[in-house]
Amino acid sequence: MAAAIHVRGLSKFYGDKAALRGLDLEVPQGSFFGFLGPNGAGKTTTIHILIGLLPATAGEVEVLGMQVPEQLDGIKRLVGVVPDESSLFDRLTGSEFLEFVGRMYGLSREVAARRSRELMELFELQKSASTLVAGYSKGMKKRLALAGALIHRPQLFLLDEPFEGVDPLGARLMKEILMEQVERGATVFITSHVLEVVERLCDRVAIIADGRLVAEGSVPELRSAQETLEDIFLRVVGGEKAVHRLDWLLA
Amino acid sequence: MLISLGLSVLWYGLWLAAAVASAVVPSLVGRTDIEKALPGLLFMMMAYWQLAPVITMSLGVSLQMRKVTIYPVTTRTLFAVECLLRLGTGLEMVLLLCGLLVGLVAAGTPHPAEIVLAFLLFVTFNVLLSAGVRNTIERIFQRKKLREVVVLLVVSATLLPQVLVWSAEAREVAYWILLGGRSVPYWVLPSGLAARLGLGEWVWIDVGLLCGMIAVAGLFGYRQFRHGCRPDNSFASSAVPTPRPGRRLSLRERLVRAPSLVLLDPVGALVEKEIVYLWRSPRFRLPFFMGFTFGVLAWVPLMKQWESSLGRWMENSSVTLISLYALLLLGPVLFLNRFGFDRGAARFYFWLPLSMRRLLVAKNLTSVIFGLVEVALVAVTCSLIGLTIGMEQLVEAFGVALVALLYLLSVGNHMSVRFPSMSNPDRVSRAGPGHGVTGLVQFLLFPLSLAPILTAFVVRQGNGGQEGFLLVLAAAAIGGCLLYLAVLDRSARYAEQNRELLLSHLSCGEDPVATD
Repeated sequence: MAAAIHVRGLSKFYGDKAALRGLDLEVPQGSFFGFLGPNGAGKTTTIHILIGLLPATAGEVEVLGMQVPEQLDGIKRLVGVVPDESSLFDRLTGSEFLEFVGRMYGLSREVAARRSRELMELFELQKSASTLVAGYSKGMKKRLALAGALIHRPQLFLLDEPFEGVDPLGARLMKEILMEQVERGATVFITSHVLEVVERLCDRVAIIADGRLVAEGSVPELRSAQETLEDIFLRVVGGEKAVHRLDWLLA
Repeated sequence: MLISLGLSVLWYGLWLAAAVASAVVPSLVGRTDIEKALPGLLFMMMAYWQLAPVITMSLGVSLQMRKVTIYPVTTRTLFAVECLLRLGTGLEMVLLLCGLLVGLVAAGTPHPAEIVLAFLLFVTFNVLLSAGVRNTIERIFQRKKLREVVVLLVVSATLLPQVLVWSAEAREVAYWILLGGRSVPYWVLPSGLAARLGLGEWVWIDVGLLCGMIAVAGLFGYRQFRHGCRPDNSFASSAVPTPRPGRRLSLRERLVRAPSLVLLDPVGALVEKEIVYLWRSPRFRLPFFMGFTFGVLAWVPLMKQWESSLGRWMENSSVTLISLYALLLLGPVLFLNRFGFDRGAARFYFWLPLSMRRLLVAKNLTSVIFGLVEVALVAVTCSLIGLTIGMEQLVEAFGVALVALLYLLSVGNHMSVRFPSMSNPDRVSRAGPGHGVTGLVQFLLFPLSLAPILTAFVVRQGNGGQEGFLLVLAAAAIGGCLLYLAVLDRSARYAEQNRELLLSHLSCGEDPVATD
């Protein structure tokens, strides 16, 4: 079976500054894949290139067997995206936003409206269905964004920090929904700083640092009996350096 | 920057000149005249002092103290800063008061030190009251749609002289208001008390009353300021009725859905979204309302005044000309910066299965819909104020508007992708796509795009007559279509190729100093 995401030699430069340097990545279909890295490592840049938001400087990118950017139109119909920033169309209500997204993915008005109502209930947002998105909290916006990514039943989910700002109840709900999607055959590609969540949910994990892949494998392959995923993460990204202690902080 | 500096120098230069005049005049007139004029003058200064921050706030220029409260600064310190800001917005009045002070001393008024104290008390009262008034109105503006109404009234007030010249009824109303105002004893107001003290009529009761008013103003100002520093929950209760299965759609909902009866998705969905988005944005609503209210009030008196020199042709085409003016007013929000209100959410357009060309077409169709509704409302307003609007005028107005829209949309598409900028839909200030020289060039290019339309009118007034007018308009329509299609393709391609730049311009955040 073709990989859900296949990346070879992916590079992205902003002038002289490299955001990605020769990244190689393979995400199997039907997997729950965690993409980890410190701030500024290139996680969001990678997702933006996968969905065609940014052009790559070099390298080969295939999503669901289709080339980026040549077959981007076809890819977009099969992918659901949750962005890292909670920038949604804030002059629409929650239900209007979902209905709009559904119609943009080709659903009829009636189907989009019905799924919008059902998703608002599923994500426990039905009480805020008629409130403008501008009045939503960060966690509510994340849940709404995930609902928007689900409405057209995509084959691949690209989620950038989906649990950031979400309370434990909301996060649990989102995890359950994502696990169900993987069970039905979809692929979930997630970036997150919440390593415990990644450790629990993900089949495979890749760790990126300074634009390069520094570790990849299943969680059992990567960790030993004594190490947690956090230990591995800190080790491979070089986070074990001694912290310069500031005397006035400790006084 | 240079233009702003020049305008500031001009503005304060004028007030300095007024201060010099107020330093000279008291010596030239008698004490009786000074006693008559001073209370009224101080009253107008007080009114200006209270209105000035409201006007600047309505135009979107304000320091949002609420955002600074996260730092360990006491509310009292912030209130002191607020008071200094109110002093700053009344700097022109301080200049005038200094001039008056010099003038009154030169005119031989006794006890100059007491005049200084009286004016200091007057300034203190105005600063404290202004802090309270500004914060109260800012909170009201957030919760209700009054801001747009107030800005509309403030802008329309600039037409007052013109309306008074044109309308006998308006002059009569103004006379009765002034008469009513004169019957109020001046000494009950702080301005009256300060005037009496300033004239050397040193009455301890007046001092006590003025100090009492200052205390009340201070309490009011501080309380309102403290309320204003609380978190903004203006959207928390912004519920909008949503159609439920089986529920009958309201007229508004049916109107919003009307384009989808003829337009297939995704364009239909985009047009609906754009209509709702714009209509819920005060920044759009204000110029939309201004077009068929302020526009009519501004141009109809002028047309009547120019009738003797230019003939009746302007009045005969009043709906057309005012509609063109209204479309220009809508420029920054409906044509020139079409992604401005989307801000960071514009990234959605690039991962939804949607071409940039279709997106621009959908935004343009929304602009056409609102543009034509504007024309209809201009016609209604003109007929309500007594102008005779025939079918021929209406057909001309809609036809010319459609041709004009081709050019305006072409310029708009070009500017929207090349000079996008984030625009806060709640701020009812200008929403131009550029600043400085770039903004000026864009702003000039926009009305110049109507040159083909204006040429048709020139031909009609010349020897071309109606046939010439229609010929030139038809040529303009063909040219407009070709230009629109060419610019549409280029703009779509540019947006696709420069999406990073477009999105980075649209994603800039707001800082505590709220200007756009």
